[in-house]
Amino acid sequence: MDQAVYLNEATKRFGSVTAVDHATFAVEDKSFTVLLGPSGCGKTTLLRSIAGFYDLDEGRIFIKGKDVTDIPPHKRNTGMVFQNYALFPHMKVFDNIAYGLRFRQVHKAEAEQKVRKAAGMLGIEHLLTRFPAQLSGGEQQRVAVARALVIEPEVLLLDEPLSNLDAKVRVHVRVELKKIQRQLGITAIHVTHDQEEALAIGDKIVVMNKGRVIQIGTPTEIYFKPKARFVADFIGTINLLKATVVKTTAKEVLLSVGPDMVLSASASPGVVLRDSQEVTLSIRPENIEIGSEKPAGEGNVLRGEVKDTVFMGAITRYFVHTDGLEIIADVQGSDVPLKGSVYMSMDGSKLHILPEL
Amino acid sequence: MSLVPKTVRAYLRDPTTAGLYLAVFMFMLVFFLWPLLAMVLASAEGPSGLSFSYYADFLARRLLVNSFWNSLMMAAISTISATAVGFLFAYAMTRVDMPGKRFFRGVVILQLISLPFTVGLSFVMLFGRRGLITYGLIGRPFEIYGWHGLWAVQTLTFFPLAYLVMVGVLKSIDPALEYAARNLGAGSAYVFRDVVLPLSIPGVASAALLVAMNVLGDFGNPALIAGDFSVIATEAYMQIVGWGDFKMAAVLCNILFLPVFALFIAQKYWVSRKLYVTVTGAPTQLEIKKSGKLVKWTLFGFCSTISLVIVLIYASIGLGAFARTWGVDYSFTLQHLQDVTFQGIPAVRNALVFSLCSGFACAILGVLDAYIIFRKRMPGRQILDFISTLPAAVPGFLLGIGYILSFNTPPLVLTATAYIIILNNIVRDLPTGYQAGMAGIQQVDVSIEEASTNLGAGTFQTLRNVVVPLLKSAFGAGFIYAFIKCMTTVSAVIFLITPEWNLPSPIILGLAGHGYWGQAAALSAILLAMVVGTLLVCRVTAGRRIQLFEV
Repeated sequence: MDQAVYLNEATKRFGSVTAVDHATFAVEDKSFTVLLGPSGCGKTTLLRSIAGFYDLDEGRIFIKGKDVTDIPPHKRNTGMVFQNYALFPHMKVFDNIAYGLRFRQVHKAEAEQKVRKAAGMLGIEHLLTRFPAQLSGGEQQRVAVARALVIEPEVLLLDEPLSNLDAKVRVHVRVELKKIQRQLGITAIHVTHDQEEALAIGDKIVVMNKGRVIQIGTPTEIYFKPKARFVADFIGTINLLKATVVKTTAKEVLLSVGPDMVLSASASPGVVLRDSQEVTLSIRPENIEIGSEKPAGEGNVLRGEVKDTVFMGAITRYFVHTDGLEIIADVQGSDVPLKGSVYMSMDGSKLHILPEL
Repeated sequence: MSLVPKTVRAYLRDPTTAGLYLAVFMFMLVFFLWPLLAMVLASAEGPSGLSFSYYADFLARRLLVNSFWNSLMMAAISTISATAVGFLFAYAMTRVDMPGKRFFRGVVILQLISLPFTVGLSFVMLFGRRGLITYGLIGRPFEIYGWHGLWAVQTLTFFPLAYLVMVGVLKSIDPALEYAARNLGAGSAYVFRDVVLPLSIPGVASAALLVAMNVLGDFGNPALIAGDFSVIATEAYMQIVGWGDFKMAAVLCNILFLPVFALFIAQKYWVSRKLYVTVTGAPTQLEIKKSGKLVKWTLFGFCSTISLVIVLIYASIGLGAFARTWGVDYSFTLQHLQDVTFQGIPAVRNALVFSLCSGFACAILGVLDAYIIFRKRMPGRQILDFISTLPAAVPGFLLGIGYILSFNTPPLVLTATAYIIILNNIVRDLPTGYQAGMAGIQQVDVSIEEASTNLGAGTFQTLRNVVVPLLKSAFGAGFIYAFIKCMTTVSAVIFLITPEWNLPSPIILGLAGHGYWGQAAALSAILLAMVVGTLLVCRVTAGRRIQLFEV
């Protein structure tokens, strides 16, 4: 595995606040990596540190194996797309895109060719003679991306570039961004607080909270196998149940979530549990099947009362009470909502154990 | 990793900025801090080393001690009146839909750009012993000279300054807050008492401190109208011009510097932190609610009265320039204009050249200064910011005297040259350029410069390609403001001029002091026409690109 960017114990403080706290991780070459977390979690600080806009207080940053910690930002060859695009208002689109080539000894004819190629890739050739103020938000964003790509950066840094676009355009543009990144075989680091965007776009997601890296994984790992309560809570809707370990075998773990309520979950490799240990059990609402009839077969069925129903379009969400617990279950479609007493069955492989409370 | 301290590393990584830091700092050290220090040294240097005998002497002389209390007293009462007038004006202009706003605005701008002692000069002509109104129209003797005359003059001279600060604050109070208060059931009097007034108090305090500093440091008006009411500024001048006692002048300056410095610190570090809203707030979409008829016409009457007095002031200057003998014979003559040309034309030419040089230097230095302080967050920027704003608070005559004390003897002898005047102007108006630069930089998002850096441009290249083009209008504004101030400055340069390098404003003061009202008015009118002309030319050529006096 090649590493495009490697952070070793990267730490950045602002006064008494530690914005990034000993972050250590690698970004794979040619990957699309997303830094995800709530606002103030340090993700933007980390991105800006990679670009060189902040000096680290501790730790080192490597880009393509080279220690860049002490290299000033204009010598790092990272292409950044800013949240507000930061286009030069006094330069036409062409000059905006060509700007970075001025400092790279690129011949004029070659520069023009490169600019046109980048503009072509983003479908903005017809805008080259305009000023940024004459463009729509989406067009400005494309110019900003073209400007960052044309210098053939070691890594493309995206600082919430989609947050200023309206919802529909945003979904369209993120697909396109990923397509271009694949096409060019470039490494991209993308910062967002939008978990849906992160799941949709990332090859790898780095979840951050309070300056610390909490979990690194593929979108499915992050979604279904959160390693910490924070990750489970932050991404999507999830049921978190307090549970006590009853029995562990090589294949499965039996857990008690209440009187006479025992569930069996698949054992996660590497997680060692002892008997009567208190843990948190997580399951996504869409992994719970719900019905008015008790399903055939044994185990992993809980009985409860429907307390509330919310129609959400593609799904219907049920809030079910069962002996002091509230469990959320999503059902596709469902024209006639269930009422009263229901049975919830859960797939043991979808039940995930968090070894913390 | 590195043995070099973080501070030093920050400098080494960006030598361009570090160089600029050093350049600005050295310049201010030599031409601002050193003259201030020289004054302290001079006042405490006896025949045999350190001595406070001059301070003891000061305390023993009742007249001088009185002048200090007089200065403080005048500052206190003028600040209250000027701030009150300024607030009413600002409130009326921002919150009341009254007619004549363009006219009122014009009047305020005229006051801001004209000679600092215009009001004093015209008050003597209107209300003096041979005054047009008191002697000519009413025919009763009236004593304008004294503290009451000076009070009226200072109020009219400095209320526009208070107005300027408070308009900014009032404009940035979102009308939505007032709508919210009304929506909750508050009547207009309550809205004013509970919302507008509390939110504008920091602005009022800031304006008041600014006025107080200016009144304490004013020289022209007391010289013309204070009469027997002596203040520090006029006493310090007398010490030098009358008795050649530089030591006592330095003592007076140092004693005055204490309250001025305290006001400056209060304004910069205390009051400005308490501002609830930034002056650069986004323009609001809501219309201001119409005010009641009584409020509207009362405020309109108030603004009209003040404005008419100011119109009268400028009319008297214009009239004086063409009246044969003021107070006696008001027939038309061009004699005064002819008389002042001999002395006046070279002085006006000097003023133009000096103001161009200083204005240009202030604008460049100010924008650069603001850029390195606000954008390059390097260690030491607070010090740089401090010495870039302090000159605005230091009274002109104080810095003028400091210049004589510092540049009369080696290593740097500058007395009786044009350079000393230009340098003094640059230092005094650097805060103006700095402020214009700051306003400009705040309108350019940091990320635009970061984008340039990210794409491979170093500090110098980013400056040249991105910062300078985007700050053209800030530069223009800084230039015009500094230029106008240099054209009309008097208190500092009065100690630095020579017969060869004379300037119009000290000449006017001299002419008025000797009773040559006609010539004083004529030269004032010429100078005023040039300043107004500059502003109009700028308005026409640059239009909205350079925003001047957004009041």
